[in-house]
Formats: sequence, C-alpha cells, structure tokens
Amino acid sequence: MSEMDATNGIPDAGGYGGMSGQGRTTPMIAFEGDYHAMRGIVGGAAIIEAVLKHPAALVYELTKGRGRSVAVWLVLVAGLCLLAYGVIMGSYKGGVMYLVAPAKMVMGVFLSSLLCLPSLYIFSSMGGSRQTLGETAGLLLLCQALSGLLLLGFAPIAWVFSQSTSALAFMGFLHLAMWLLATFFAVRLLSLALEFLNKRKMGVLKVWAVIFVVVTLQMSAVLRPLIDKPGATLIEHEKMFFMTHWGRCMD
Amino acid sequence: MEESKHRPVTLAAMCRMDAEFVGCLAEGRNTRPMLITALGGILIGTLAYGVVFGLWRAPLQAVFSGFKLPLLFLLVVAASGVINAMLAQVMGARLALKTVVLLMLVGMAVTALLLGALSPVVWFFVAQAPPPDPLVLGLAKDNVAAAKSMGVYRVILVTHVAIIGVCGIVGNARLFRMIRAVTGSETMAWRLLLTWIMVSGFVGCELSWLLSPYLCNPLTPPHIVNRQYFESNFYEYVYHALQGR
Repeated sequence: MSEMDATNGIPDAGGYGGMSGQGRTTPMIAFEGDYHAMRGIVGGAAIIEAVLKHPAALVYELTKGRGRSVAVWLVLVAGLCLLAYGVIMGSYKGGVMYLVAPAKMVMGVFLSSLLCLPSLYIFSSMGGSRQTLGETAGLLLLCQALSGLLLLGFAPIAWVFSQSTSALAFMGFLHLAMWLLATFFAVRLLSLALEFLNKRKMGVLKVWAVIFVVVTLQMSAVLRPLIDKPGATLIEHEKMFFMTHWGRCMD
Repeated sequence: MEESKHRPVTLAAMCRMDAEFVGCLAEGRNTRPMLITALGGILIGTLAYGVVFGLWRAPLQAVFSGFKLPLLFLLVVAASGVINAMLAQVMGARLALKTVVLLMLVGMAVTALLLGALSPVVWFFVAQAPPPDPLVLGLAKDNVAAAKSMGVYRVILVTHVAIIGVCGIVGNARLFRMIRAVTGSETMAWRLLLTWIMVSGFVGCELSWLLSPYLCNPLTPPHIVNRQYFESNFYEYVYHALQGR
C-alpha cells in the first residue's frame, strides 16, 4: 500500500517499467504516469502504440473512458496480429495451411480467453479487484493484444525457421516458446493493471495464469494440426491430452 | 450504475470480503440481501459445476448432478447449522443462529462461486477425455474390457474431488476471516472453524454419499441416487472397505 502511495505524482513514465529517467522505475510508477485518457481519436495506430508504450492509458480508457471503442480496436489488433502470425505458421507446410493455421490461431486464442474469463473475474475479485466483468474482459483483451503484437514481432524469426527446417517437433517447440514468452509479458501486464487499479498485490493471478496457459495448450491440441497438413478433416477428432499429443509429435 | 458499484452486498463484494461486507455481517445489517446473495452464489456456482461434473457420463447424469450439487451444499447447512450455532454458544462465542447460518452460507457461496468460475475450464478438459464406452454397460468392475473406461472415470473423479477440495479450502479460509471479524478473536475463530469443519464435514460426507453418484461410472446407467447407499452409511462403508470386505 505504501509503495502505491509513494507513486503519486510521478510524471511521464511510460511502458512496462523499464528504465525511466536516471534510475529504474517500478512497474507501478510507470503505470501511474500514463494513467490518463488517450489523446486524439482512437484508431489502429494509436492503439498499437498505446499497447506497447502506454498501456496505462488503455487501462484508463477501458475502465473510465471510451471502453467500448477501445475494446473493439483491441479485438481487431489482436485478431489481425494472430492472423498474420498464423500465416507464418502455415508457411511451414504451405497450401491450405495458409488459411487453416491463421483461422485456428485466432479461434484458439479467443476461445481460451472466453473459457478463462469467468475464472479471471472471480479470482481477481477474490484478490480484491473492484472491476466489473466487462472491465475485466477489456483488460484480458488488452493482454491478448499485447500477446498478438509480440507474436507479430517474432513472426520474421518464425518464418526464417519455417522455411529452413523440416523438423516438425522443432517448429512446434519454437512456436510454443514464442507464445509462452508473449503470454508471460501479456499476463504480467494484466497483473500490473489489476494491481494498479486496486492498489494491492494479487498473487492469486499467478494461479489464474497457470490455468490460462494450460487451457491454451490444451486448445492447441484440440485444434491440431496447427503446423502440419491436416488429413481428411481440418481438425482431428481423436480426444487427447496435450502432453500425449506432444509425445506423439516428438516420436 | 455508479451506485450499484457501491452496494455493500454483492457477489463481487462477497468474493473480495470487503470491509463493508464483513461489517454488515458482524453488525447484523443487510442480512436479507446477504442471505439472498449467498443463496444465489451457491445456486449459480454449484449448478454450473454440477452439470460439468456429470457431463462426461451422459447429459442425463449432468442434469442429475446439476440438481444434486446445489442440494448437497444447502442440505449441509440445513443439517449442521443449528448444532454449529449451539456449539458456538457453548464455546463462548455469542453468535445468533441467524449469524451462524449466514456465515456458513457465505463460506459455501465463495466455494460455489469458485467452482462455477472454473466450470468452463473443467468442461473443456472433460470434453477432451475419451468418452465412456457404451459396450461396458453392465459389465463387472474387474472386467478387462471395462478397464479403459474405468481408468478414465477414476482420473476424472479424482480431478473433480481435488478441484472441489481446493475450492473448499479457499471457502473455509474466507469463513475463518469472517468468523474472526464477527467474534473479534483469532483463537475463537480457529476453534469455531475447526469445530464447524468437523461437524459439517461429518454430515457432509454422509449426505454426499447418499446423493451420489455425481459422475456415475460407465458400468451403470445414469441414475439420480443409489438405493443401496440407503442400506448402510458412509462410515460403515469405509469401515468395511478398510477391513477388505
């Protein structure tokens, strides 16, 4: 609490709590400086810039300002980034996978978010959050938009490997590692936003993060194949736990 | 809209254990909305989880479990509320029956809400499990042909029990905070909590035994209650099981 109080009045420190001024700022201070309405009209470029550099402004908009239009833009940004990353995933096998992989990528991420939204709302409420379900959903969208943008940033690297290797297991783990890294930063942002808004630590979100990761991993097994060419149907109907699926891929 | 955010008695306030909410509980204010909120939380949460519980076996079993799980939670409070209030009096905590029942209901509601919140995730995983083989219906438990379906059944059952157990621990942790706020004593809160867990746990085991199955094994058709369970009690079953009979 005292840490939060000490942040009052710290101006102009954006981003995710990296270096600011002469010393390293805490993430909370970084949030405090940017927690105000976005300037100008809400648009794609402004949203992308805000997600990367001034997420607190988006948190403000989602909770106190133009929540609906910002949420729509976040869906668009996240969706387009995931589609683009999906195209790169599909480039490993080419052909029909240029269409199938992006569709599965977008569907998987949004369905996982939808499945985990009720638990995020209840868990954060138990941690002391005062946000409504709609506001919580907006923050989750912000988290997905950041994840999508980071994946888009990784896309050139993924493309290089997808064109130069034929090892399916390697590609699978490369995509997994990139997704996990993007998710780490995205969940960290969600956690920071909720902690900032409620002026308290929320350790319970770590439990939720584990649930979210496991659900998304299982979703990747449900929607398989994501990288390899599909067989007779676009989705394999055999029910399988994601660890079993990975084991088979390794074999 | 703004006003509704600051109502002291809501499901969200109950999850957060807002000071105002606990204050209402301690001073006996807003008991009616608190009761309605707690009952609503129990019904929503346990209904959602109950449906997911039985869904692997058959949609009909999901309907049965969706009906039985809320009933179980409410029956536990009904069966142990009075004795818990009496024990509280005997142990020196001057808590009225209304307060004790309210405390138990709110604790249960927190557990139920957690279960309800996790039900989409649990449903997702249950939906990925291999379904029960309809050909094993009527076979003996030790039949080799039933081994695969029974194996999946056991894993799902243990998972459900573990999830309910964890949510129950969280609910009791919240109950402890409420008792401490109401009695103003940590020692008394521990004593009451442990006593109530023992009493409610004792009756809860028997009630859940009587209302079982929630999941229903693949060897028997979906059913609402097992009449055999009414011929002996849960503790007799455990005793005989320990003796290997």
